[in-house]
Amino acid sequence: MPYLTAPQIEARMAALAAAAVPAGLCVKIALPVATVSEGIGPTTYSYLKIGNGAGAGRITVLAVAGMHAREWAQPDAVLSFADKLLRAYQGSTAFVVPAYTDTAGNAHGPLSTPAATVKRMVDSMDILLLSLANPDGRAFTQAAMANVGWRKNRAPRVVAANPDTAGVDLNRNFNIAWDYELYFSPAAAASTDLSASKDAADERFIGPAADGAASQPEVKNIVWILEHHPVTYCVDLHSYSMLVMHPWGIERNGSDATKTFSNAAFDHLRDGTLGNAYSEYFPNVAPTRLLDRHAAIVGSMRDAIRAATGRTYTVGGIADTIYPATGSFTDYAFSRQFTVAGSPPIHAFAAEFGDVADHFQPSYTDPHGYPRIEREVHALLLKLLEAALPPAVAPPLAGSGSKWCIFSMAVLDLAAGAAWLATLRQGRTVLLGHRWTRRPVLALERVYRRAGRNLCPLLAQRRWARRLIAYTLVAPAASVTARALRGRSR
Amino acid sequence: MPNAEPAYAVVEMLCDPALLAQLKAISNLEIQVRPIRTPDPSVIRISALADDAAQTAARALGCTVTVVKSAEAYRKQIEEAYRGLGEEPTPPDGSN
Repeated sequence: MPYLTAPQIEARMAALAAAAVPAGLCVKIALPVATVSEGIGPTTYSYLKIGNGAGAGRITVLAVAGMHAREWAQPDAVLSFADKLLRAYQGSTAFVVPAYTDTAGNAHGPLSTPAATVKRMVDSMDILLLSLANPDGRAFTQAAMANVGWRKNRAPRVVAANPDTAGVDLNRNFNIAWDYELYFSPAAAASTDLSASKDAADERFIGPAADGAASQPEVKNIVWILEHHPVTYCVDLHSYSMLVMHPWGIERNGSDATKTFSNAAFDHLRDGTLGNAYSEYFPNVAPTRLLDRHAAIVGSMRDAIRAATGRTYTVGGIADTIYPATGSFTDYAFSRQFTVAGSPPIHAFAAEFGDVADHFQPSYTDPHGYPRIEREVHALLLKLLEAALPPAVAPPLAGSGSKWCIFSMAVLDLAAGAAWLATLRQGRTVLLGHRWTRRPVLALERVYRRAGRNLCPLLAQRRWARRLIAYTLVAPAASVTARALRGRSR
Repeated sequence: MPNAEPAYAVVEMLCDPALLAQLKAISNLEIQVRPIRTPDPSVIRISALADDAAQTAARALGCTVTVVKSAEAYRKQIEEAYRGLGEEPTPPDGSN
């Protein structure tokens, strides 16, 4: 069986949507902007939305594949993931990543996600799968063996006489530090360490200066997805190098809250990987602990991949792990929580599947080629969905033993909720341990539980009210508690 | 742009980052993945397609060159990838 072509990927998505029961379980949605390419298209293409149910409180997850034309494996693996997820859900069976025996004869896996977990995933989340983000690029690479290494899209060439000046690197075209000569110091912008280029013949071409960021139809379509779905977990799937990464890609990660991509005071000053004077702020304060959570999730993805195939992927921040790169999807999706008012925390990831021997088109038939990559993609995607999954049952505050806990109900469908509650539990334990605070706390809890009996049934039906309490009471209380606990420990 | 000429082997090179510009000037050496840092800051890891002459040139510059996949094996891999493209695929069967 050969790799799928772009039209076959569209047809496969249509078949999956048509076969899904109940209706609406899997929907194929056409993207609004057609491609503008040299000799191909214009092409209209689609993504899948898998999810059973609607309404408030649903988590939205997005996986993107095939952004680079030559990386053939991930689009096929995302489609087979959709197929297996739907089959497991409809058949009330586990999603099984089959066992694998490596070249040394060592057995790995199988990995099994229980049917009940699959059901929770599909019932509580909208799972968006853009299996092929660069259809014309893939069509070009598959048209002739001489094109096998093409990475960019097929935007019309900048220099008519130079065919290499066709195309833009889509993963350098997003609106995050896109003009790297503005974002970085002159030395950092000129560094060979930086993976971005203003040379149209370069395979990392960011796009024509006159057109600005997000100029490419394929990028506009992904931005459209982010603007029309409340995506809070996403991943961009690439090959190769055996990496699972989180932001930032534009710079190393830092803890100084003034050092942000949007702070113009640092324009032309950021030093990239040439020095340590500037590092991009990655929030990691309680209660969300965003950096810790990203690190934990990429760690769980690495562990799942290792369990599936025995290969150990390297994890870390993009700039720390591979190289600094501007204008990437992962950084852009992550940055939206800082630029879009009222955004909840957003978790963004990128992965590079396979090794140099797999190369960009691993053998489809060799069990150590595509079938191994496919297992790794599925293992990672399952971990992403698990990470995004809201807790099955809201954990009650320790000691309250009450199902009428307002705070637990308020954070029921928030990924950060468990961390907030854990912080509050620690604070409560401290307060109960002091003679002067124990009695007031217990008296307050009696009032709290009485109020909970009246409020919780109402909150269960009203997402806006849960959000209001979560963000105006629970999160600030957890933040204050965390600071107090830190102060106490000093 | 790299191509699938039979003379290209898949190689991995460990090089001084200062050599990058000279490496780019070598004929028939196509860097495939941007250089990745290693624990040793004086060494970067580069994966590339390179024919025999290009491998020799890279070694002469001081790079450690390891052939990960021979030219013959790489040619077969690419030929397999293109074989049957566009034919109607078999139905999805959870092949992994």
